[in-house]
Amino acid sequence: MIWKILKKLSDKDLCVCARVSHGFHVYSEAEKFWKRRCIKRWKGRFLFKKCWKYTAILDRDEAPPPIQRRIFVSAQDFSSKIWGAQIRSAIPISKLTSSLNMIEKRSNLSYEEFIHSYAIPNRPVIITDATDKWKAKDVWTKEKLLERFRERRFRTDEVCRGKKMKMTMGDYFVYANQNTDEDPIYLFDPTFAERAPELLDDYEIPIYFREDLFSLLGERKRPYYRWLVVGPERSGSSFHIDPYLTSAWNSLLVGRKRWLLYPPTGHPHGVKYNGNMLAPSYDAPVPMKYFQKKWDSIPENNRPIEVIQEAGETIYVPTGWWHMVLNLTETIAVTQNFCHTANFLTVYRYVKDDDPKMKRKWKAYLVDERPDLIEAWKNYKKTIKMANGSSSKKDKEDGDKEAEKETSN
Amino acid sequence: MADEIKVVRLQSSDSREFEVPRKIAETSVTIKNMISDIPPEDVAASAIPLPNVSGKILEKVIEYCKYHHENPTPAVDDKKEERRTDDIIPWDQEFCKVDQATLFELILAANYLDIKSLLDLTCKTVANMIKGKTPEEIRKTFNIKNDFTPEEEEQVRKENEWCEERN
Repeated sequence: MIWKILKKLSDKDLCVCARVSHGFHVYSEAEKFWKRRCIKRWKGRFLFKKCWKYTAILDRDEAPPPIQRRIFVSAQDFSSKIWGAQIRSAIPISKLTSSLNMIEKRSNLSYEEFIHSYAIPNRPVIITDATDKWKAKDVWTKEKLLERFRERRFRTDEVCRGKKMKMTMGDYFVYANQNTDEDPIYLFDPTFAERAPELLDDYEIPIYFREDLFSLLGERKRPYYRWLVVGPERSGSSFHIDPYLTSAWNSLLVGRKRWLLYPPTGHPHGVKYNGNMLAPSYDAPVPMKYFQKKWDSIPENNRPIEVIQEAGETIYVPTGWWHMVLNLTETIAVTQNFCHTANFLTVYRYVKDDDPKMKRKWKAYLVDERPDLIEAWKNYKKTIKMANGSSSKKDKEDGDKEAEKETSN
Repeated sequence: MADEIKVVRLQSSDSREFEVPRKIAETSVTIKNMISDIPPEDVAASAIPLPNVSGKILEKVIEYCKYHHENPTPAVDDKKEERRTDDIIPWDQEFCKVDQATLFELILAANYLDIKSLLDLTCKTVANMIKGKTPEEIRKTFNIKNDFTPEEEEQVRKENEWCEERN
């Protein structure tokens, strides 16, 4: 409610309020408030200057006031929310690094071994040499990307008026370098290939991930599947499962990422989840909040799988795996999601319930290109039907015998 | 069956009861939802408890809802007019001429009862009490202690003066 009142005040009035008392100061200086005002006013066209307050008030070409040190008033006595944000912005990232590496790191991995050891059993792996021959290894540095794309606009993960906010790469890096947000804006663009097609020449899909069944739908009809991912330290993603239960690969070119994972049947600690993978609904805190509030209470029997991904490494996140990422440094990465033979049944089943229209279109292509998969789906349906039918009608033992007979045919 | 209920009884935290036409009570989205959740027999038989609102405040809220039900003002486009505070109608201005404690209790009640226009009005009123004033004037208005040390006060003045001197 205090925010409702503050929203009605002009910039000037708020600056006066900051001088009234400690309590007034805490509220009228709150970065979260000024961020909202700034984005409302400037959308993605702000040029970040030290803090959201200055960025909101000043014009693009105005310099911030030459104040060296700004007073800091703790919000502890006034607002637990602002106090929490103050703490989370101040926790040094070095406190959140980890030396745990619970995922295998492989090089010289053959395609066959990938399929048998990881894709089919649905296990994650880190591949250390997939980016070795990429141009991106040399040219995807902040400096070089800025040379090429400084004025080009890219999508961020920040929502403004119902749409994802866009910023020029130049403006984004200014923000990334200067901000102290507890959950910084991420440059997270699934349309980067349209905005900067040159980027596609800098990398190639590792051999393990080239089977791409959604590609049958064509570029225009298929769901988003590839993202340019740039983020400063502290940014990241909260626990989630990838859309359509696809698998994903993520190649890191610059920086270090800390990953937490849980297998598909798991329930990450601290995440509200309805338990239904086919119609999932969940709510998870942003990474800094997760480490601050949930980390210490993780019970021994529900600890996540952890790994640190270094520059040059590619992580494979299999179908349905929960994952959370914290950027320990400024990071630049590319990621793609896909459906392949190993996860086809899972993805198809999900699409069938979630988007029947897309399923119909997809099926039409699959019948021509991959009749083997449609056949597999039909058999799968049959098996499920029999398993369900026998347990409700017949005596359990008889039912089992019948199901066995049918599936062996 | 539920539509037949024309009048509801509201009970404040201090057990005062108010009989209010249903349509007027439903200005409060909270009350509206309560009515639709409670079976009609119970709505007719007993009062709806509002433990977070005192009798004195509930009385004022009902007065507000009654007036605005009989004198509807056109809806304001929230997104555009978010910062306007100079468009309060005279009746509302008079309504808000109460002591600060009451004003803040009205804000809390409007929030709890989910009466958007009243919440907006009361917040506008408080904002108007802040606008254009100096820090000392604001302190006097709300009876706030200046807990800055002299060094802090000087520092925070330097940090904010540049903005106050703009435009």
